[in-house]
Amino acid sequence: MYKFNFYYSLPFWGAVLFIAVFNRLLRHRHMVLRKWFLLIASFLMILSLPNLSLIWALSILGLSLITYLCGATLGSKKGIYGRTARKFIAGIGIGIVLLYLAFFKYHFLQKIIVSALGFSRASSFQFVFLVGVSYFSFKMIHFLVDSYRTRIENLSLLQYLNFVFFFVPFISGPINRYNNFSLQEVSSSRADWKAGLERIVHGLFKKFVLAQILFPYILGNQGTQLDNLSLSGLILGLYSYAFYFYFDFAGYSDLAIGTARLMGIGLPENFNNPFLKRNIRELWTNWHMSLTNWLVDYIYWPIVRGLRNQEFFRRHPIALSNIGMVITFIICGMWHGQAPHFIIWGAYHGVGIAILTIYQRQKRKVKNAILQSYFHSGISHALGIFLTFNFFVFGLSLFVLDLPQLLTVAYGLFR
Amino acid sequence: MTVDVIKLNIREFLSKQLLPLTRIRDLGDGDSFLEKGILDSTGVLELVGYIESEFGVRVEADEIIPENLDSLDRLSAFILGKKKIVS
Repeated sequence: MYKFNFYYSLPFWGAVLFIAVFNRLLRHRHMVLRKWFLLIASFLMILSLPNLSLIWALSILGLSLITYLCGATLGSKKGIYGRTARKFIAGIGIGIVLLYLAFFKYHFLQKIIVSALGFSRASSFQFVFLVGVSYFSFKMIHFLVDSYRTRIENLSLLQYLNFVFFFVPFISGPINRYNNFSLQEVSSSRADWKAGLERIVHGLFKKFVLAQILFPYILGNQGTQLDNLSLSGLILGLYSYAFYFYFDFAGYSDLAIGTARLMGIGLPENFNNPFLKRNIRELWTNWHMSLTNWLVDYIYWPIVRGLRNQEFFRRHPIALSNIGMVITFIICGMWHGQAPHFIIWGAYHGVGIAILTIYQRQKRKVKNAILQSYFHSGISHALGIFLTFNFFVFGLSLFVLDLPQLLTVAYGLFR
Repeated sequence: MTVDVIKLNIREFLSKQLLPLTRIRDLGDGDSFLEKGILDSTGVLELVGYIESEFGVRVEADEIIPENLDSLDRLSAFILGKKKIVS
């Protein structure tokens, strides 16, 4: 099988052009035919990803079939399943997806399982990385939870497999929702092509021009050892990292959204000027939005609903929300990586939002007219943007550097 | 208790606790709180706490979903439905 990287190689763009043109030629044909074509094309595209062998692609297909069966059972109109049975079916499906995700996400777990099954000796163990595993797992969990809540519309196996395998957002999102995907025609118009190509040009410019200009200046790439880093060097490195990170990921998202549009498929937006927001909560609702929304719907709310059964939390909604937010961000940190600094980074943002929530509630109680006028002024707005951006940038040091590196930088700065 | 009274009470709560009066006046009965940025996740929990204390209903964990809470229309229908069950 011919292998190439998505979005970085000419063969990828050649294949995209072929699929988009062929899909357009099929626009007057039956929708089922278009969806079969898209599924086969997506499967072949995913097989062309480096490090993704047929066996792993088939394992994703197997996982898709299991989750589809769970979802179809939960969505059955016969209504023969009681609440406990429904929870059990959804729980089994989600449990299998989480085990699959954990196997590919955490080295230590994979090593234990592979060694225990006798496929590899611990000494010669080689970690298997499965590209896109987080993103299709998140889509499957959303599908199962929404099936449990009978929110899934227009369910069919063909639609579901397309939803999981659609190659455009496969590696890094945006994380689509089933109803949003399944109700689309997969038929592109001239306007789709125009909008899609414009979006791709924006994405290419952000990812391959702006991000690349910043790349030599980001923390760790400046040619200075971490223990010799000056305060100005650290600030420059972190500021560059923030903008590099933004242009690289927002550029990728533009490419994915634009490419999907060529096939007449709308994907959710991922970024909305996050660095121009007044507080850290607003920044997060506008940064990697499809992931943030997923975390809120499928991590934060289940935690909060569970805790609210206790009378104390029922009477203290702000405390309940803050605990839910801190736990959600810690889980978000754990998803980004196994090292402790990712957990600290997650807690940093969770606690930041918790403090903001308390501050905002206290602000409402202020009666002083001058202070209230300040809260609604342009100066307050601008200061909010400045502080929020710098809070995010400082947090990047916890994300980019592991704990020994952080200590090295701190020691270098204060010695 | 009528739908109008419930809506009026909720509007008063939102304007006192969460929103300036100018924004609450613009809020239509069918407008989504989440889409319009009226409520964040903490605000939803505060609103649920208010509903329980003001209208004497108990909101279960599974009921804290947009289908029940995400507009004045939905909220008032939900509260009336709960009150019917109680009575």
